[in-house]
Amino acid sequence: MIGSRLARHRAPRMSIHDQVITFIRNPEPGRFDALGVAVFRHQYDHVPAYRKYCAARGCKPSEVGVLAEVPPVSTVGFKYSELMSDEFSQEAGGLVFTTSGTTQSSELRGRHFVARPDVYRESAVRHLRAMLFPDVERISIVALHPAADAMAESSLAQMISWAVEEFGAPASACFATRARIDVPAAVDSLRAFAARGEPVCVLGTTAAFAALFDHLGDGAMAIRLTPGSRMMDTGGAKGQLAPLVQEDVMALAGARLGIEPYCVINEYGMTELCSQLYDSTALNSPGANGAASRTKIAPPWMRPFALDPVTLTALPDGNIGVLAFFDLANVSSVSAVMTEDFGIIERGGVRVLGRAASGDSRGCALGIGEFAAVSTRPRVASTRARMRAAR
Amino acid sequence: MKAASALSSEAPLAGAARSVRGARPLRDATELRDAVSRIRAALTRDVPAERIADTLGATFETLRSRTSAARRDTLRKIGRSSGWSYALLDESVDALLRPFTRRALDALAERVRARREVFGFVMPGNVPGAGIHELTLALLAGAGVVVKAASAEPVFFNEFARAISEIDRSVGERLTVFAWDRGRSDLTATMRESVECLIAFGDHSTIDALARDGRIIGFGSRLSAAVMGSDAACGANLESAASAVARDVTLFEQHGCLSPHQVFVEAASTDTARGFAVALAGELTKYARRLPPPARLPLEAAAAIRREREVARWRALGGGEVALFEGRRLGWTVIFDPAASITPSPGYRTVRVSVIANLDELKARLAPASGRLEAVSVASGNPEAYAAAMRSLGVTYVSAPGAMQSPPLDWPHGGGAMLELAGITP
Repeated sequence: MIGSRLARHRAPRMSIHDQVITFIRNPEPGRFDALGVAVFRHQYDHVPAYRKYCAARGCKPSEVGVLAEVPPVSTVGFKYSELMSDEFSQEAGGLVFTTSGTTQSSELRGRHFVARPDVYRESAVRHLRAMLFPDVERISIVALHPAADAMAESSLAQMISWAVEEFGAPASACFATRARIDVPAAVDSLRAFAARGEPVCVLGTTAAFAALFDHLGDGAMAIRLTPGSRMMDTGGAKGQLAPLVQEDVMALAGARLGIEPYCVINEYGMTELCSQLYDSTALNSPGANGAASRTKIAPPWMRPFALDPVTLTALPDGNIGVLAFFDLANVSSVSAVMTEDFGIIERGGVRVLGRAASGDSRGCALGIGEFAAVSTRPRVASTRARMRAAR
Repeated sequence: MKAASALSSEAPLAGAARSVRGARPLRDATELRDAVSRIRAALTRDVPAERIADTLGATFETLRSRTSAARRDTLRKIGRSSGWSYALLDESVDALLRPFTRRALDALAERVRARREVFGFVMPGNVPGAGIHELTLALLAGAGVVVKAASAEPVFFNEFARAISEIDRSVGERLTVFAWDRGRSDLTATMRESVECLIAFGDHSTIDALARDGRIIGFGSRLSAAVMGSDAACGANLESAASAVARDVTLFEQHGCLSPHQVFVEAASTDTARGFAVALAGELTKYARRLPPPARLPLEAAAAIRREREVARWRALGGGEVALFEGRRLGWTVIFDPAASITPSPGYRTVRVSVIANLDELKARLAPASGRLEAVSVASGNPEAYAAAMRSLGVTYVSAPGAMQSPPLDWPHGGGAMLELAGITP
């Protein structure tokens, strides 16, 4: 008896990473805040750049008792500083993901140093299961974005690889390289699945779907995928000359691929976060309403906030603010991340309103957005750099 | 003929409070055509340029009078819609109207070429009173004017027109102010068809859209900066130079094309420029006490300022030679960024301070905004050297620090096309 009690005492205390993995596997909402504060303190101790940032903001971990007091790091922080844990080691399996960038030089791309990809995978896979694959064990996946073997620095590529490994049927295939998407081959593959009566899941950026829809054109070229087929797009307007809005994507997915609207799932994610949000639809949320009232659902180990940009305090539900997240799955980097998107928190979901614009119309005064559009020099600030169209 | 004796500059506006209102919403094209017809009829009644100058002089005097009830109501109303403090509006409007003296109006009236035409003005909404130079010039030239006030700021020009009418109805009949949504392109097209010349202010997309159907005089969006010569940003001159720049940054909440967004300090070392940034931060603190920033910033502006701050903060933490000085609640922001080329800020008293070694480097740093530069203030023992260089970059107004919001009446705004129309050689 005494011996077993001593053994319990001597048992090594569960690491913060393992506590997070345990939470992801078995979420207990009542523990979120306490675990979050513990994660913050761990990050303060182990991420030197974050420690400096907290000090600059006058934040002392000993005085942080609730999540609302944890200083959020703007996504620009990932670009201008190495927010790397002293536990990070590529030799030990740590991964580095970089944000996309089309108009900025590579040194200005954000970098996310993920010391524990196993936590990342646990988070990504579990929420994918809940939101995109709640009704199937495995399904053939057609990827319109490179997988991790072809684009190791892309977090979207990594997620696609994990999705194929965890949920993909043997006929799954990827039709994109770093250089291009082989749209005709993807279309041939989709026709073959349709001919066999086999449902399929198509994954890619919204821009890739735009290319696919464009290739299929109107009418005769359309494919009628088998019921149960689904798609996940991400990245919004990035890379598109004439951006498709969500309603366009759903309409085109129905008209050109035969995918039911409730099986069209938009993902909101970014390189700097190990957890993602997905549209709530009847596929994953019984009783979910139609497209107009869709919100995005975060996993139980991630808490969204709409922040007042003046005070950086969380606004009450229903108010527009700058979206921020406390993501426990970011345990090996920084969990409190402030995005550059506006949004609203409502009924536990997130309504993403889009990028906090700097291109406001300023009458006779030249605004940032207009200047960026006319200036030919390389820009420090690139619009939509963090939305991960091609993570 | 001098009509000043017949005009009472104070009485109509300084008397009992009256209801200040925004421009009348335009119902339809017919109402606009009727208004233009009435203006044309008014133009058949001869009103000498001197009398117009006197009327305008009296109008500006009342608008400058801080005891004027109409002015107070006008500024309160603008403050309610913009969120800007009354004290800030008071000082900003004073600065804008300072050059509009009777003497300056008389002098300009003698130089203008008569235009018995009707001009249409599409006014910007970013700053109350922006466009007043051109409107004044048109009226002095004897033209009739129909104004489309901006939906964001429909008060100023309506009250200006009212004040003119109350002082001299025969001049007031030449000016009508309406408001309509910019989406009503049919009404804008009607205005274009009804007038001899369209004069438009706004961002370039607005100007381009209006120019699609014919020639206009367009005042597109522009940017301003300040330059501190090597002798101005240190020693005994430091505080006064920083205070003057802080004033230029603060007025109109940095929303106008005349507001500086970046200060270039000529110095052999970055320490001098950094010292100027510290001094500027101190002066912006003083201005924030005297002319409080908005209690509540628009969400997009707040997010943009937050972003600027976070970029600066993280660049500094990452070892960059950047320093951030920040007022409470995003009230003002100074970013010391020595190597930066000119870039617009989100406004609301957000300004960069950079270092230049010499005039050539200044020109290189301003080059990204070449053709889009409006004003540059210069503090130097030899301002002419800078002024000539600035003009070569297309700068239309070179001033002393602290005077950027007060360009003279013959300011060649946007390159001087309006002056040309009025027959004035700058």
